[in-house]
Amino acid sequence: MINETNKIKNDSESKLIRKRRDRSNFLKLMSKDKTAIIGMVIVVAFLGWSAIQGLLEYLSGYTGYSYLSYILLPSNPFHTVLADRLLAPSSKTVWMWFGTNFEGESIFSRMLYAMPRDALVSVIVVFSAIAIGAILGIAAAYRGGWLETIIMRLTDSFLAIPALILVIAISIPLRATYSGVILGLSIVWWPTYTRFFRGQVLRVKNMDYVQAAKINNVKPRNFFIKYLFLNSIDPIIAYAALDFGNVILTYSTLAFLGIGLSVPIPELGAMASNGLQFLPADWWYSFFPGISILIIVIGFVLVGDRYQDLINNRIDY
Amino acid sequence: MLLEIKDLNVSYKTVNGVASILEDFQLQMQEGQIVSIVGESGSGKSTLGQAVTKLLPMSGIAEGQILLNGTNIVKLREDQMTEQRGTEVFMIFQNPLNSLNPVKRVGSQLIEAINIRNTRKKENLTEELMYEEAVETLKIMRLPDPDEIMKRYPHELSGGQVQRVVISMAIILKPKLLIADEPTTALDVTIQAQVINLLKQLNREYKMSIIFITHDLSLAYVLSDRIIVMYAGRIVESNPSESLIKSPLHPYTDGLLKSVPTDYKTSGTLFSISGSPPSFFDMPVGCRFNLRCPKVFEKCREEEPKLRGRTDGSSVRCWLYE
Amino acid sequence: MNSALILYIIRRTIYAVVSLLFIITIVYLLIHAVAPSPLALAKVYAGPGHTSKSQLLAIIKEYDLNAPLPNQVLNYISNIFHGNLGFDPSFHRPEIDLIGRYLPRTLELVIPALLFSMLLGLYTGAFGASKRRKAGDQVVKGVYLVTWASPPFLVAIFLQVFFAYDLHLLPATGLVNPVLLTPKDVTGFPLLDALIAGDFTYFVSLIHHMILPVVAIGLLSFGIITRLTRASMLDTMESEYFKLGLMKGISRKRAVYTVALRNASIPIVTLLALTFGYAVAGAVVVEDIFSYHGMGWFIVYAITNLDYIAILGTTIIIAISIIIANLAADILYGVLDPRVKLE
Ligand SMILES: Nc1ncnc2c1ncn2[C@@H]1O[C@H](COP(=O)(O)OP(=O)(O)OP(=O)(O)O)[C@@H](O)[C@H]1O
Ligand SMILES: [Mg+2]
Repeated sequence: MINETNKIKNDSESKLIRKRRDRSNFLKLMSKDKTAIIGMVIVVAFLGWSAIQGLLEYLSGYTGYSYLSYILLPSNPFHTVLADRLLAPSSKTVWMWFGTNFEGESIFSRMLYAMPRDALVSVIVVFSAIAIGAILGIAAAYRGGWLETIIMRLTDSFLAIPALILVIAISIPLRATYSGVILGLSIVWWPTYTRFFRGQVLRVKNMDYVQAAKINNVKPRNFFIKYLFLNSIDPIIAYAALDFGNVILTYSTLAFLGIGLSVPIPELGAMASNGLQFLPADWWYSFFPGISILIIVIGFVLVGDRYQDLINNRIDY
Repeated sequence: MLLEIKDLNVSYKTVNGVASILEDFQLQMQEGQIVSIVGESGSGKSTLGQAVTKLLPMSGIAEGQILLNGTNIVKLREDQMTEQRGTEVFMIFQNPLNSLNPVKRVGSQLIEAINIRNTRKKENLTEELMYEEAVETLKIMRLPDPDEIMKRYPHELSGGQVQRVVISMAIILKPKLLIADEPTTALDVTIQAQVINLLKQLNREYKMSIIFITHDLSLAYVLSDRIIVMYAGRIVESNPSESLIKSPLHPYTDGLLKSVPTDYKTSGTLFSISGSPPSFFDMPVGCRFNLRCPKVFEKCREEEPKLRGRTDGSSVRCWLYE
Repeated sequence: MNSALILYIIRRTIYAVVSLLFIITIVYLLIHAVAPSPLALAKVYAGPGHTSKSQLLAIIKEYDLNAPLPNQVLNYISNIFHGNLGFDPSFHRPEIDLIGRYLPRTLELVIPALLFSMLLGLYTGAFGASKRRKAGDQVVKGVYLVTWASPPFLVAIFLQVFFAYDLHLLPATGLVNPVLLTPKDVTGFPLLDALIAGDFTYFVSLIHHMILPVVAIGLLSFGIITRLTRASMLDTMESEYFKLGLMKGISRKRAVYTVALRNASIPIVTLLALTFGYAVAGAVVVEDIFSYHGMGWFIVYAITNLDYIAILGTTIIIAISIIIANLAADILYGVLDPRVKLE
């Protein structure tokens, strides 16, 4: 809804073409801004690490070699040494960098172990939201009429309940498991994207260039993907980039409220909230997991902000 | 001297680096003079107007001297420039459709302008007088039903009507220097003629100096004392209107004149200059016009000519006249 | 007011009612999707702990869970419109009574928080845009990035630890000083009741307890407003009408805060309802941390006790409040933007 409202500009075909050309030197443009570079580094590091560690965790579950799941970590995240409980951070050994928790487990190792799950939630939720939003939004804008009315009323209805609360309502009967939370988040996350796509398609639809494609009988599949979807997607990508962060925040808030993963498996939000009872003396317990969420989300927001500035021509080169 | 522009350079920061648009721009205008700026689309005409009013886009940088009544605008602080805008210099923007504040009624936007003049010139007008003046001005612009229009929002007017409302602001503010950037694009021929006459009248009655920006050489000829022809950010020729039309110096001016549709019925086809203007990122070496010039020779491809003043008051940038 | 505007308001109101019906249906259907049989549904309704078969059957009968689905939905809708949200299994009281107690307290937090975040967001956004790319802009961006990106509980905990536990400036938890006697319940809103009873001490104590949660919720939700305000200010400041304003001789400062902010605030209005939703979601966490017994606290309580009736009831009540906020925003939009009415 952000972009739908803030852009009431009359796009012309030439602008569209220029935009397409800009997309080709996307990286060059993104990296002309320091904060965007920081954002990209954070995002790439987070997603890259999550992919590698996630794969290892998956393989370890698949093969039964539990060692695989922490081969890259400074220590076994499930290794509890009661003598080591609540140790303050120290630079002596890597696993002690961020201190230990009440069970004597290394907080750093547990954070690294936890990241793939945050990444997975955000990726699944955002992509499913884009997919559902694209189908419904494009259909609504393209078809119009009663279909549009129904889709948009439905969308508005979903939007009227804050995602957090709707997820709570849905995931309690879903037994509040990890996959339950993912499903719950995916069920509530699409309406913003539907509004976006509809707004964008309404704008794009009347451009000469799209009209011409329609008259020239471009194949329907081509038409929807090449002309409507791709021309609508720019502001949506910008929003989606920050939305990864929103998903992670909501997910960690759910963990804080006790909805989601079962206790032994580390989760950033849950770690931060478990540590709250040890504040302020053993501050590191919540601090490092909390800060890591903050940094990851900031990374996504910086990337999204920059992209938004790029597509709106709001940049200093 | 009302306006004196010396060695003005204007560039835009863009994706591909800095694009230098206007280079080495010179202009001198006496009070009461009308100068037309003519040139193809993209030659930097609007950029010039924006530089003189210090309203370049955020990515624009101006260097050099723009002396308006002796003060250098390029060096002015924003708050000092505010005092120059409106009553000293005013510009009618090229795109009329977006020129009025969408959430305020037309009337109040006109009255705001009257009020600015009122405070600056200490006229002590009452509200009613200001209202009447606004209506009067709309009448001058031949807008139907001025009272009704005062109450409307900009989106309830047509493009041509909006353009005329903006022009009436110029009538209200009576700036010493008016820059009119293609003020007749959205208007039909009869109203166009009327606007041209109005500009002439403003010039005569108030000694208002006008920079008239247009594509249209015949309009420029009718209106102005001097015509400046621009090509790819450069002045290629500056000449009193009469002699520019009768004996153009630069081959580009010549081409422009030939493409004016005078009696194409007899000849059948309309002349056009071959090729298209160069990109600011890929300027030809030598004269910027050399790729399209019918009279091109060796030297043109090696070095760019300077803008040279001639004894008859004209100046031209061409190796033919060195 | 002209007739076009009135028509617009009527249309928006109808939309709001339709949305409401949709929401109730959706929520009801979602639950059916996860608990497809009447018995499973009855178990969800009954809450945790052991429930005997006959109790379940009683629940099925009470809520008419054997009826065909459309009838159940209609039934449920009509119940809601009659103010019947079911009977809370853990509090042993009608749900509507509980919500009636907790909702006003949350509104007393959320509405000031919303005002706070709107003003903060509009001001910082306009400030950032007018100081574009300069130090002021960067500071604004830094602040909103950090508050936006921090997990909500961290912001709340930080405020609590710093202002309450370290500096002892404000109370750390609770709704009001528990020593004080509660004034007579007239409106359900503690602040109003205290005013009506003329109990100044109680009123001040309420305010004291409100400050940190309000600031926490406000900080959590202002970033989105700052960001949009800044962006749409920058767009407006490049527009021809902004430049024509300057051209007439209006000072830049005046143009920024009248022409640009006035135009840029139009899209912000559409964010009002969204921000209200954010604030309510923020209240869930914030009330939990500050042990402020409002709706948010009640929801967390319901989660831990698997009290489904309560969750359902609160969800619907929250949806209703947000729809009302949405309607208000739509109407405000229609008043602010002359272009809307014609659509
Ligand atoms: N904001 C900007 N950023 C970068 N380049 C710009 C910007 N505005 C204009 N330009 C470039 O500067 C050149 C001159 O533009 P300008 O608007 O002054 O042309 P013009 O002569 O007024 O053309 P027209 O007759 O079409 O109005 C063009 O090549 C244009 O692409
Ligand atoms: Mg122009």
